[in-house]
Amino acid sequence: MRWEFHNESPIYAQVMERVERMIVSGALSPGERLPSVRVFAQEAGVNPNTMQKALTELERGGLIYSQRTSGHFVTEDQAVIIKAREELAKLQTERFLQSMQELGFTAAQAAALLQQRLEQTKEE
Amino acid sequence: MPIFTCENLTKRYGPVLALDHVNLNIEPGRIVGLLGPNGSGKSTMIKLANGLLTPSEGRILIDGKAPGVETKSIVSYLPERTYLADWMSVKQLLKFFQDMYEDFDRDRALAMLNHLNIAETQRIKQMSKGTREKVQLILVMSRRAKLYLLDEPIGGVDPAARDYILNTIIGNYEPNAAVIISTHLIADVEQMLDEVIFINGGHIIRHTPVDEIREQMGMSVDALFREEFKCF
Amino acid sequence: MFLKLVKHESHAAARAMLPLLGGLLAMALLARLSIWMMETVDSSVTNIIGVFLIGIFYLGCGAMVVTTMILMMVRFSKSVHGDEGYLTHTLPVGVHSILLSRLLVCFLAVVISFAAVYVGIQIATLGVDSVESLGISIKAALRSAGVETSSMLLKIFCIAGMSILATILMIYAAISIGHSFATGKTGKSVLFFFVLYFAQQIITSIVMVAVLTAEFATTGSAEGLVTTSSNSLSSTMFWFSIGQAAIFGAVYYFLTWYMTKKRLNLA
Repeated sequence: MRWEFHNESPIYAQVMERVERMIVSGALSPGERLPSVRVFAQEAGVNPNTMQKALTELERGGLIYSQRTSGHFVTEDQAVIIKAREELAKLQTERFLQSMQELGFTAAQAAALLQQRLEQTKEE
Repeated sequence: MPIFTCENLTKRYGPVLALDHVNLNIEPGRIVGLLGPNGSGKSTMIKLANGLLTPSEGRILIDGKAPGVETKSIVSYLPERTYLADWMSVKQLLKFFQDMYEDFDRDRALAMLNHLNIAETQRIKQMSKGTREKVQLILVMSRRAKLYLLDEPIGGVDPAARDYILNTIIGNYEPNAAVIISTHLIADVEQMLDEVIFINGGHIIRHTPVDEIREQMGMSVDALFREEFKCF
Repeated sequence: MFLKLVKHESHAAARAMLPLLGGLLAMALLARLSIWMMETVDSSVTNIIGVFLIGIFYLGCGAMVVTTMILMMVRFSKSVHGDEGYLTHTLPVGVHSILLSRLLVCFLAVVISFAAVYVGIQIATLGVDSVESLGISIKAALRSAGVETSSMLLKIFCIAGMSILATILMIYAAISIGHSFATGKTGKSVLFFFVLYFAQQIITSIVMVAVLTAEFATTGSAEGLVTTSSNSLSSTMFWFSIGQAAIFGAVYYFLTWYMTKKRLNLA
């Protein structure tokens, strides 16, 4: 199945985030070998150049590493994965706040709503 | 050196100007979308590159040479129409392509045909329109060409077939080759393009990397296309 | 590469020709059977069936060459000027190879269909005394008139071969011109066939009259052209026929080449 992309940011950035999520969520486990660029690109329905660019960026961040002949692997360094998870969480929070802002809520109001939602869950 | 070059390329059909002094360079290794509404000059440009038409003015160069026997051996072309003789069987077609094109990879074609459960004994006549188009695409993408010219590869196919076609293109083009895909269905091909060329009324309006459009303008190619072409 | 094209064309032609050849052979055998039946059984029913079957066979002989020609022309227009042209013209071969491979195979197909008619007639009349004696008496008559049959046959074959080539090329040219139009491609191909045909007739007549007049002026008679000297076919007549077919053939070839190379108009 081809991956779905939104319009606001470049495809390679979205591919990066997608792979990051796969690593953080454990869909790709530490030390696991990634499919070849061509196959991975085909799976995602993107240009191999785009996939290459995304993987190179991820490599720079340390989340994956490459071996000259055998391809790309997920890092075994848990610290890096944890850090990436935190980054993603922060990004997600930013997005939440931003869309709340667009609806006319202040950060405090948004937090209150969130609190309310959490209490609801507890009651259930 | 660019694999594909247009220098003042002009094509007239009688009084109608199909291409008007077009200048263009495409480098190897890129997947390029040739995007424009119907009648914008896309097909004319691709036909000129294949030597099916002759320029009225200017020239078109493939790997530095004008279209001819030499360029035809490095260009793999998927026309809009099905061009396979209906009496031929898959086996005969494979033999024909193998005879005619030195860069034809029979094993790759066979693997793709097997994947779709198309038997070698099947004749084109017995196939549905969709299957014919897939067989044609398989033959075209099984060549290790330097330039792939794909004219409306996903025009009028269902979404499942569209995914199959796009995956086949991504999975099989030669890494050092350039791929030019002409289409008006931009949203469907956008995520696999490196560069886009907007063409209208025989003029090239824009030739930009896709990332640039998204990064600098914050919009998709599809959205930009709709905006730039809405007044026409 | 040219040979590979020829191979592929032969394949396509054989596919269309084999049923025709098989049909003709079957008809010839039926005709032979009818003759045998009429000779041995004396009944009006067998006679009617026999005459009917023989009639069908002779119709088949006539249709054989025409059908072959039509099939080959359909193949030409489809593969060079139809949708299949998208493949034909993007093969790494030149336009000359494309045209010559088709010309060669079409010529062979026509020759084979003539040969098949000849063989068919031989089969149908095998052992029929009246037909065999007719052949022998024709040869004898020619010999007594001082005609050397083998040399005359050779000349006739040369002229026939040249004319077949020129005719094929005339149709190719007509198809190529007809298909350069945006609409009514088939209709215009037929129209241009007649245009070329009548143009050829008119030009040939004018040249023929001119040659006759010149011959008459120099020798005082036009006998050299029409009468037999040592041979039933005078050499002036022979070279005239060969020459005109060759010249028209060359013109048609050039037209076909030009229209295909420069004015290709695939739908």
